[in-house]
Amino acid sequence: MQMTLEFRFSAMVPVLFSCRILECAGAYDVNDFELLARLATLIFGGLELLCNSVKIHNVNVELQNGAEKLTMKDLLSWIRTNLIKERPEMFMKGDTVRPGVLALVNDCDWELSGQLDTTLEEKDVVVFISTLHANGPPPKPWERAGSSSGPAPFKPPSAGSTSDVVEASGTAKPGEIVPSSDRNTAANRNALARPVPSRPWEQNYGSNTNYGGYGSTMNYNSGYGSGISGTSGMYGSYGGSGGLYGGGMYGNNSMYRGGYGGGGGLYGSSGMYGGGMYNSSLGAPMGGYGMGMGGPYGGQDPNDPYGPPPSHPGFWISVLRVTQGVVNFFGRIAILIDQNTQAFHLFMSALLQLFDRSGLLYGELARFVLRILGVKTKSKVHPPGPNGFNGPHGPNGPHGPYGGNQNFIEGPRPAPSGGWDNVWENDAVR
Amino acid sequence: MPVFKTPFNGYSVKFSPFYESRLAVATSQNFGILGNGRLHVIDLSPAPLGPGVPRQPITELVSYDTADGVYDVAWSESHDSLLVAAIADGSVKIYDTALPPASNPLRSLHEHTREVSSADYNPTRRDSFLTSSWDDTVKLWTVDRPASVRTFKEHAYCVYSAVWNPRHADVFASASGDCTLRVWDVREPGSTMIIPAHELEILACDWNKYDDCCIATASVDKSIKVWDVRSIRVPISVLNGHGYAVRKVKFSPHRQSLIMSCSYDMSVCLWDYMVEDALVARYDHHTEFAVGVDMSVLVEGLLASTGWDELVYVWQHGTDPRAP
Repeated sequence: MQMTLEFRFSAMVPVLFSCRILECAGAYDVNDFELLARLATLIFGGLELLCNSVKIHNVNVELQNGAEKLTMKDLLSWIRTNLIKERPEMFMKGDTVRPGVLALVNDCDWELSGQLDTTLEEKDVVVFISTLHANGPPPKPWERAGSSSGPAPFKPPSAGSTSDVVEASGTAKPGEIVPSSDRNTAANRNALARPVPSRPWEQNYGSNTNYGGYGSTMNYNSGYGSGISGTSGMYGSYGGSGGLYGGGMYGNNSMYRGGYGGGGGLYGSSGMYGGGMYNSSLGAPMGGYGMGMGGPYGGQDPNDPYGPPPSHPGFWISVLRVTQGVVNFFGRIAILIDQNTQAFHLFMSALLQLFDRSGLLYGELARFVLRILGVKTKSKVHPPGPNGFNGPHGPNGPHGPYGGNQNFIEGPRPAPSGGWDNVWENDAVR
Repeated sequence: MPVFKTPFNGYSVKFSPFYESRLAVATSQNFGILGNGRLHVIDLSPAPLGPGVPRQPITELVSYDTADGVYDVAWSESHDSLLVAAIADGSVKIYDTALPPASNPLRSLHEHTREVSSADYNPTRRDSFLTSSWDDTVKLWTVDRPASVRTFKEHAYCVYSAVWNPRHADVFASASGDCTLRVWDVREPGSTMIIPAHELEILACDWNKYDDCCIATASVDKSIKVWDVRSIRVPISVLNGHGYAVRKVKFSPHRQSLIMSCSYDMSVCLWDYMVEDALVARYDHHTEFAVGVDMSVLVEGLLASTGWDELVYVWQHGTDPRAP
């Protein structure tokens, strides 16, 4: 009974080598066919210097005495006989690995899986890591110099490996995953110099159909907006209109939804890009953003006097679900802004660049879909609303873009000749 | 010195502790907001043969693609080909440049629930590393285990950086958006020290390599502060000069009082915190945010920086990074 193995060593320095049992050959019985399919990968750390430093070996493992299974014991003795060319004591002691060489079978310490009796199964991954002769880097410059400042308030270092030290101290908690809800239960939370804002990705997106989450998001973000406009007059136009995010962030959400959902009704919201972003200075893009905000969140805007949106909840659930995927995106943007409130213009140009790409992409997509549907689209060039922010139809309209409202699909229109009140009333009737 | 152009926006650059000419660069697409990431291992060419002979360009040894941005990278201190990458999707990946690309990443550790912002390899004990994450935690890992050994959760906001003390194998510090710097001992259940170091978020920290009680913090408030952990009420020194938030801070491995920093004002600065006129040098070679800096342990005065302009600069202190 033989097995063919392929050994692979990493280059030059002893880091890792892997060996893969490719096939078995020999006299078969029923059990052997099981073996035939067995694949194992062995990875060694810091040991191939003992084996001629050859990177790839193709060898045959003979199972002894008609054994049916390949165990770690067999493998080790085979490696010792066939593979280790010099100083086998660096790798083995007796018939096992020497202390200091860690053996893992499928990322699990082999002590848990039976040590030498561990049976190697198909696609097993075996790792040997030498903690003894891993070569360190050249000494650090500071290691040659003594400590220059008196006694340190730290406990003297413990001997042993890090995992041993941690375990000895009783504080080890392997593989602990901290759920977001658990995060605030830690005890030691003093010394905070300011209230910590909620994280941008934690604001009830997708958790339910309650719109409060959006409301609070808005508040948070308008905080940002005002902060920014406060520090630099350049951005004054953001602040007044409910905050930078209120505009940018959600407008952009609608854009994405338009893209992902492919819903024709959303075209209007990608229209906002055309609305002012491409061909205008910094002020005008904000008009574009503002339009976008009108999207699905108009109803939730705390300042919105026009009541809840008419869409049914099922739609909102799906909206929220899609939104959640986008939250990551904005979480990162928000973090960046957080770190960067002052360098915002640079970030803004980055954002615009990004939108440029995605906006074009989705705009094209939507136009294509609409053409198929036979919907005619108008030019998207559109002056910002009276306050540079609210278009007549985009933002806080009682009908979102989702009621299949043709006006919106066709893109924002200039205001009718009548007063604004009339516009809303008409809409409400419809 | 030549520059290296990365396809994505640079996030971090680190010199190898083994080879003086080798660096790892972490990059992310679309400024790390959305998209993929890539990890580059690059090699400087040997020094020019003589004066006037142009230097050969930087060569890329290998690169690894990731499904999300790479925010930080750390070289292993025990094996010269191992890299730990902090990925924005919350995973920590270990790469071995000596193995064929198909075998990489060697490990992918999924425990953080948010973006992993930094990775740091223990320089004294050399068998473990730390990662910090936007999920407010710092995790301690060892190479031989598939799961983290410990999780440190006390910060109330994103932890942007966690750095080992270069002299105490069990001590590290973490800098967080909750405006505190915390010092930890892996044997203690909680943090051993809380320093409310800045009024605004702290983005980075680093230990002095020659004074194990001295630590520097970089903050959104545009300043760098140097602290002595034995008297934390007032900083030893406050370094003002950056125009925007300071993104990274590093102590020199060769000079006790030399600090390198980079900032969202697109500049890379060198400071001597012990003298009154602290600003030693200012390099304005980046045309976008400078977000990653490192100083070579093996060559004194060799500096590296990367930024969102997708360029990696490696230069000798005192020379022009842009000079060919």
